[in-house]
Amino acid sequence: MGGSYIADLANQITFLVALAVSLNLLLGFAGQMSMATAAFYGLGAYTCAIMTAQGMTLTGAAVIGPGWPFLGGLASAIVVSFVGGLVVAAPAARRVRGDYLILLTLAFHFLVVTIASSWVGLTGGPNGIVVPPIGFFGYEINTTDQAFWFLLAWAAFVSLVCWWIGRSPFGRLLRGIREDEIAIQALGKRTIAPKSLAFAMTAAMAGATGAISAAYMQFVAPTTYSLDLAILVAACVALGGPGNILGSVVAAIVIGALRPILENVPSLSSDSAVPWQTVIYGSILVAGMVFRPRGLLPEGLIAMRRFPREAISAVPRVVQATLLKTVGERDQPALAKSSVPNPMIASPIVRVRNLSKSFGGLQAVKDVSFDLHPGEIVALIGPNGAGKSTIFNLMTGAIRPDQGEVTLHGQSLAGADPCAVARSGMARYFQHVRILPGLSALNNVAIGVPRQAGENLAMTFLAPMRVARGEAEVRAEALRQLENVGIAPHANRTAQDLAFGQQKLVAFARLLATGAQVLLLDEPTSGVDPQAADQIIALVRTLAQSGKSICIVEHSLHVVSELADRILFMNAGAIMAEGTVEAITTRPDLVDLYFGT
Amino acid sequence: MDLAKDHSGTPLTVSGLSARYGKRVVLTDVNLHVDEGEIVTVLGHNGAGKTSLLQSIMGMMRDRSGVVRSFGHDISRRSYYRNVAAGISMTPAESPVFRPLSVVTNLRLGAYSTSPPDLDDRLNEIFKIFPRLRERRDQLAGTLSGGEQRMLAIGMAIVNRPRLMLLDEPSIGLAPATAAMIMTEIARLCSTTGVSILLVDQNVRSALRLSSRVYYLRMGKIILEESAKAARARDHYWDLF
Amino acid sequence: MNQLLQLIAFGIVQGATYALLAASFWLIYATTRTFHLAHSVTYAVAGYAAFVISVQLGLSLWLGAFASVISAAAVGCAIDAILYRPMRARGASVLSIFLASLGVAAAGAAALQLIFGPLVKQVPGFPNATLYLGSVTVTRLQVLTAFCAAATIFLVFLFITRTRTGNAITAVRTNPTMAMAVGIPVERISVLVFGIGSAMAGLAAFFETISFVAYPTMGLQPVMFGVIGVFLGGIGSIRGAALGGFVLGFLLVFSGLFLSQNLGVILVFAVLLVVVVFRPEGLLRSPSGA
Repeated sequence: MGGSYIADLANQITFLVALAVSLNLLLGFAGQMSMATAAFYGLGAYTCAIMTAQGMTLTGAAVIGPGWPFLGGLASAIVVSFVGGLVVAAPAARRVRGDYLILLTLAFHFLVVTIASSWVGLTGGPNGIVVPPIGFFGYEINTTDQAFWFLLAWAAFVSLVCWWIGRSPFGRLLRGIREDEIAIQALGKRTIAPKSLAFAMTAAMAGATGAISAAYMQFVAPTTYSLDLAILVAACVALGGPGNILGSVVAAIVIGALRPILENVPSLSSDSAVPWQTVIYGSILVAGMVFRPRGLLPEGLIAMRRFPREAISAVPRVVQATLLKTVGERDQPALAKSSVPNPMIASPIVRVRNLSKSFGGLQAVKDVSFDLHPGEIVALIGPNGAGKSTIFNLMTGAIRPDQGEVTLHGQSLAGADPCAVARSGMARYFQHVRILPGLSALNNVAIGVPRQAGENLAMTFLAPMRVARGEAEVRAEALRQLENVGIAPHANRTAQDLAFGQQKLVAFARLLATGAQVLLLDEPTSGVDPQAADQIIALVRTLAQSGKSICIVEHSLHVVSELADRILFMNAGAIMAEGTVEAITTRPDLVDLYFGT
Repeated sequence: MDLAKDHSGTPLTVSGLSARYGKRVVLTDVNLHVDEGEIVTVLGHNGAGKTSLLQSIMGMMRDRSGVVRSFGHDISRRSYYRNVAAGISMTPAESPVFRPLSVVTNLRLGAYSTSPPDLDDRLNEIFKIFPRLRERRDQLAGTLSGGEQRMLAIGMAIVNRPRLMLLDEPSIGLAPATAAMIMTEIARLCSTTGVSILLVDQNVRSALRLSSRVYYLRMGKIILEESAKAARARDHYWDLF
Repeated sequence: MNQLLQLIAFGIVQGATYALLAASFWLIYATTRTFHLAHSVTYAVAGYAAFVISVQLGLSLWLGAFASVISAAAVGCAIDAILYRPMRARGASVLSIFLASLGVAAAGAAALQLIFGPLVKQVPGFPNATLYLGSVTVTRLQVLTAFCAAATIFLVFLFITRTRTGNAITAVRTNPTMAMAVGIPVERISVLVFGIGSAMAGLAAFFETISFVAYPTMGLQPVMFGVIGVFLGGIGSIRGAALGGFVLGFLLVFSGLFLSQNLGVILVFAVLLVVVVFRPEGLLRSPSGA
């Protein structure tokens, strides 16, 4: 291929940019590590080569492919790497721990490299395949200078796609999965499909880039697709800042320019430029992880679309007033808590029937039955180890009961996982909050809004206007919920920078955004200062007044007596008594059970 | 707290101890002390910071400030394994044994930091206290019942002949009779060996029977200190939890 | 029949090496939860150490073997003490530690290339011979490799299950909080397992070097086989990891019956997918939640 040397250098960098940006989608947004970047780059290159090669191979055998034009080769490369990505990722995506994905991608890398170098009949083995040049609609690219604009456009296109995905609701979902996959499932969101899809998208983009590079070089050979290339790309992402597309672009340009610069250092032989480049980026990667694990350009610097400042300052102060008012009502007699006159008359929303569960020899829950009515606050109390948390786990589907079942709105929840339970309207508030620390408060809440059109990746591209409208509604809803809990002014702050009490309120807003009718609250006030606790108490009471059914596990009896309409007293896995706060706390036998004898 | 009294040689003196997990403050300015041969109980509901308190004293938590003194030494910056070797033992509330190892191996690991020459004698002493452990000495700890695991945990703590024991909820998840047996053993240990004990337990009344003093911990702060006698006189403790 | 016996013999030879690598990776991974890909650098350093001692300095092969094992242990301990330990102390995520490990893997191999040049290094001098055991043909070196690998795994197994320190390793692996509570210095145990695991890899690297050659990226494939062996056999015990290594060796050897040469990795990948989906804890489940 003719053309200038400088253009060739620039072209090589565009490949690195495209690979880094596409890996960022996976490593940065979804928090999943892939060792198969070079493998998919190679898979795309070889697919294109096999589909487009014509005439004879270097070894003199006839090529086995159909001899398609370049665009056909590119399309087949995209399809093959997308499907290949799904095959590798789907089994690993079932596991929360990322180690399985590292394992499978590493094995996949060796699979591709082995086939490329050993299956001579298909790939030409070590000799490789000669590939026809890039060409479409009768126009052929034959010099590096001609190729530059096309390759630059490709790298820009890939960057734009990744950037678009990153700021879409689907991108938010990926970030949520990165921060806390269990919490996302508990909000009623599926996580396996988005993870697999992100992986397949990354694979497809790497594959397409590989196809283009193969046609640009007009040659494929196995040595190009080494693990070092995979590490080089990961280094670009890690150093540029995971989750920051622009950072990946900058890092890829800087690190990609290292080799030509080193090649022109007079004291170095040209043989040692590549290992020197590797030593340098490897060391930078190590130093970066030790000293700046969030990259040189952290995600926060160029965050997702922020809510306009004016909109936030315009938040009505009504909320504060409501809160103050409800807090003021605290001194009223404990009985007049719920606005629903007599919850027992209304039919129950949740029926728990004969739940039992044992772990090993320990019977954690024994034949537990109770109902939750609309507008009612029921507290589960009892000594540690009484089985309260196990009941929540059974109700939300986190563990399966040995016997018994839970029905919600008359529908059995048997066999439903936490995601399905949350979708049908019963959501859980975790004791340890499970906030998404790297996301803004607003995004933490927005992620809780159910049925978002934009969480479907296809819609993000096919119906962008509809997604944008939906997203505006989601944000408005998220902001409304933040107002509800009184921390709208902090909407744009990163959740990890908020005080613990504020984080708990964000988690509350997120819970409300799910629209769940039944709320299971696990120690909603633990670990916060008394003022924040009062705020939460007032909030829970308002929620019950609005008709939600609330079940709380709480060790602070102060909180229980403030809130509960009804108490279920548990001991050793069974419900020992049921009644009002007064009835329970004055029974001597229960006092003995709680405090010992 | 009695500031005039000199606690320099006492088994444990904690002053101004604060600790956090990331953003979450779990202990705020905790002051307490345990005197020679005394059992002191810390009461508080779940999440009040009891486990963090024991781990902070032991040197197992990273983000903490304040001064911890023990037997005349400032141990605020001493590592947990030096603390164990120096005669402080700690028994966690949850999974206090090594499940894939045998009972006798568990007990030997209890003495890991000191490796005493008379280890076999010490094991026999423990088997005398808990004969059930002798019967199951070669069984994997994970196959023991909850009560047996708790006995094993206590055995692992005393094999070092500690001078100060930190016990986190030794009766959690046990049947009442077993819990009572464990508590009786703890009291007997204290009276026969003179070990000082800082006890965290939810079985308020049985803990109070053993203790001389009690601290109430709520949301990471000590809200009250009183004698166990005064505490026993209460009808209930709802308002302190 | 003869072919079957020959394949079994090769399976044992290959499997023993992979089992050694799997056991070495397992010890580090299971105890410290570090996905230590920089193990490949340790492996390559050990290979070059044999070259330096036995060829450049002209000393005996035994000293070369000793140098391989010692240099590997030193490199492994150094990586843990200098890199991973400060990162763990600062609460670094598993992903950042893995990325740092990748950086070491890349930079280390490239540094070896800068020091020793791109050409492969041979360490000749092992008095090799072909042995005919009935209808089975193996070389003396293959037998020695398999024997040393199996013996090392067995010794490490005895060490872990029978000694005080070995029990402390199990303690840290299965219940770190309790290990701290009984006064086991967790960070020292971590350096120790890096030392032992790396020494095991060093032994494997020595045999590869005297059987074939040493080159800068020689560690990547063995470490990958080790990783696959661990996940295939079971992350719960050293027996599982070693079993996984053996299964891997047999899969690769026996795939030669119906796949063309070197393409056994296709079969391995397929088996791996099945295991991850249906038996994520590996073929050998560990007793009592160990």
